[in-house]
Amino acid sequence: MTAWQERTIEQRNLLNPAFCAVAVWHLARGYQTESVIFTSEQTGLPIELAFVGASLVLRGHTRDQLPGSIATSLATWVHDHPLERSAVAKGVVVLREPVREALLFGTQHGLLSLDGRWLYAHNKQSKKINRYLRASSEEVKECMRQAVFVGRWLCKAGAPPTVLALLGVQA
Amino acid sequence: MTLPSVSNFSAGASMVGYLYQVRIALLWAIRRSRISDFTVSIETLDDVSFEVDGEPAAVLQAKHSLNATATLSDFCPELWKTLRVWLVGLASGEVPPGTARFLIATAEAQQGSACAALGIDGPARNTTEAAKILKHAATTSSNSELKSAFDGYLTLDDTEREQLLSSIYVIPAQPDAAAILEQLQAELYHVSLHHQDLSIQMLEGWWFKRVLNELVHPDGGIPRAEIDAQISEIQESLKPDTLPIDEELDMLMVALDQLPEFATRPFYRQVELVGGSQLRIRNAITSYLQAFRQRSAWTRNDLLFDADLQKYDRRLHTEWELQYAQVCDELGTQATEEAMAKAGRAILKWAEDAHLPIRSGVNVPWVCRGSLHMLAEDRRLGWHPDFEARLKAIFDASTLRDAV
Repeated sequence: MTAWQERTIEQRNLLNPAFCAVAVWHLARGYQTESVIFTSEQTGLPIELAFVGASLVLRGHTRDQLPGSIATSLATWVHDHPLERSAVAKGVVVLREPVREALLFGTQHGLLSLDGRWLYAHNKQSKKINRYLRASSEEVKECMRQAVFVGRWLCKAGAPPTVLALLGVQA
Repeated sequence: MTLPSVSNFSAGASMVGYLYQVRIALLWAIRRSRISDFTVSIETLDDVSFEVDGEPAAVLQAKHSLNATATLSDFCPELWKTLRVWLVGLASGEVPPGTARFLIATAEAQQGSACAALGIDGPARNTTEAAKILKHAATTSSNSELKSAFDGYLTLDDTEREQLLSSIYVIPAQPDAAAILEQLQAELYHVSLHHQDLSIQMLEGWWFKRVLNELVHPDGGIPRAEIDAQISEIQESLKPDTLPIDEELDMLMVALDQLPEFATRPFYRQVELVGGSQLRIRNAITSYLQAFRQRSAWTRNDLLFDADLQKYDRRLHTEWELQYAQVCDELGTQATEEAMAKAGRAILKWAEDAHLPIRSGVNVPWVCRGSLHMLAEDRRLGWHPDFEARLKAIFDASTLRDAV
C-alpha cells in the first residue's frame, strides 16, 4: 500500500477508504435487499462483487451508462456497452487496493462486517451515512444511489463466477 | 486418364489445422489466465496442454474441418484419432485420469451421438450413454485405419471407460480459424478501447514467434505470467496520446480581487516567499485551480489515476529536484536573502515555463504548471532554496501553538 503522503490528491480525496467504504456499504445494502426476494434470508455481498460494484459506480462514464432498471440483464447491458465492459474490467484492477483498504476501514469502523466470503452492511450506521449524504454534492448522492442499484442488479445477475465471466474480470 | 495436379500435393487442410491450433492455444490461454496460473505447451502432451505445478490440468485436441457440413459422427476419424491419443496418454501415465480432456471441433455434433452426450456439464451430458454408443461403434466399425483406436478403447473395462469419458468434454460447432478472431476480440476488449484490431495483431505477432521458439527450443512451456506481461505491455503502448480538456477550465481566469481568499494556502505562500508579484500569484492560483479541477474530472470520469497521475507527479518531482539542485549549487552556503529570493524566482520561472505533458497530445500549459503548484501546495517541492524550513515556520509553528 502506498504511504498516504505518496498518494496523489485525487487518490486521497476521491478514493480514500472512508468514501469507498460508504460506497461498498450501499452496494451491500442493495445486494442484501434483493437477496431476500430469492431466499428467505438475507445474503451478504460476495466479496469479489465489492470490487466489481465499485468499478461500476466509481467511474463517472460507466455510472452514467447504467440501465434504469434491474430488469435489464447484465448480459444484455454488457453486449450493448462493449467499451464499458472493458472499462469495468480495467477498473477492477485499478481499484483493487482502494477497495481492499475500504473493506478494512469499513469493518474496523462498524460499517461493514465480513462473514466468510460475504459482506454485510450494518443498519445502525444509516443515520450517520444519511447525514453525510445530505451534506454531499449531487454527484456523491448519485454515486451512492447507483451503488444501491448496482448491488441489487448484481444479486439478480447470478453467481459471482457468472458475473465475473460476463465482465471479463480476472478472479 | 486425368493428369495429376499440383493441388494433389496440397496440405491446405493440415496447414489450417496447425494454424488453428496456434490460435486456439492463445484464446484458451487468455481465458485460463483469469482463473489460475499455468504453463501452456503446444504439441507436447497434446495439441495444447495446460500444466499447473508440473501436472497437466487440461489438454486440448483441436479438430478443424474446412468442410462446412462435417459432423462428429460416432465413427468419424476426428473422434477416434483423438481417443487414441488420449488412450495412449492415459496408459503411459503422461496424462493422469483427472486431467480434463477437451475435443474442440468446428464440426457439429450429430444429435444422439456420443459427442453430443459428452458436451460441457449440462442436462445433455451423459457419459454412460456415450460409453454405450462408443462401445457399439468400436465393435461394429470396419474402418481399418481406426482399428488401433477401437482396440485401445475395447481393452478398457467398463469402469475405466466411464472414468476416461468423465474427463472428456466435446466442444463442437466452434468458429473456424478465421472466425476465431471474434472470440479473441471479445477476450481482449479491455486491452485497448480505441485500438481493438491493433492490439490483437500485436499479441498474435508476439504469440506466433513465442510458440515457434518454444517448439524449436522447448523450455517447459509458456508461463501465464509471460502472456499477462505481454498483454500489459501492449496495453501501455496503445494508451491514447491525449486526454479530454475541459474548455471552461481552459478559459478560467482568477480575478485579482480573489487573491486574498488563497493567501493562507501553502502554494500561494511559496510564490510570495520568492517575491513573486500579484500577477504571478494570480497565474499560480489560476493554474492550480485548472489543474486541480481537470485532474479531478479525469479521475471521477475515467478512474484515470492509477499509474498515470502518480507517475506524472513523480516525474514532475524528479525534474524539479534537478532544477533545485542546480540552483542551490550555484548559490553556495553564504547566500544573502536577496540572492536566495532571486534563485527561488529562477526555479519558479522554470516551473511556469515547464513543458512536461502528461500525454503527448495534451498541450495546454496549465496541466504541468498547475500540477507543480499542487505539489507545492503539498509541500513536496518548493521555489525558495530554503522552502522547507520557511514553510515549517509559517504553518507548523502555528499548529503547534494551537495544539498547546
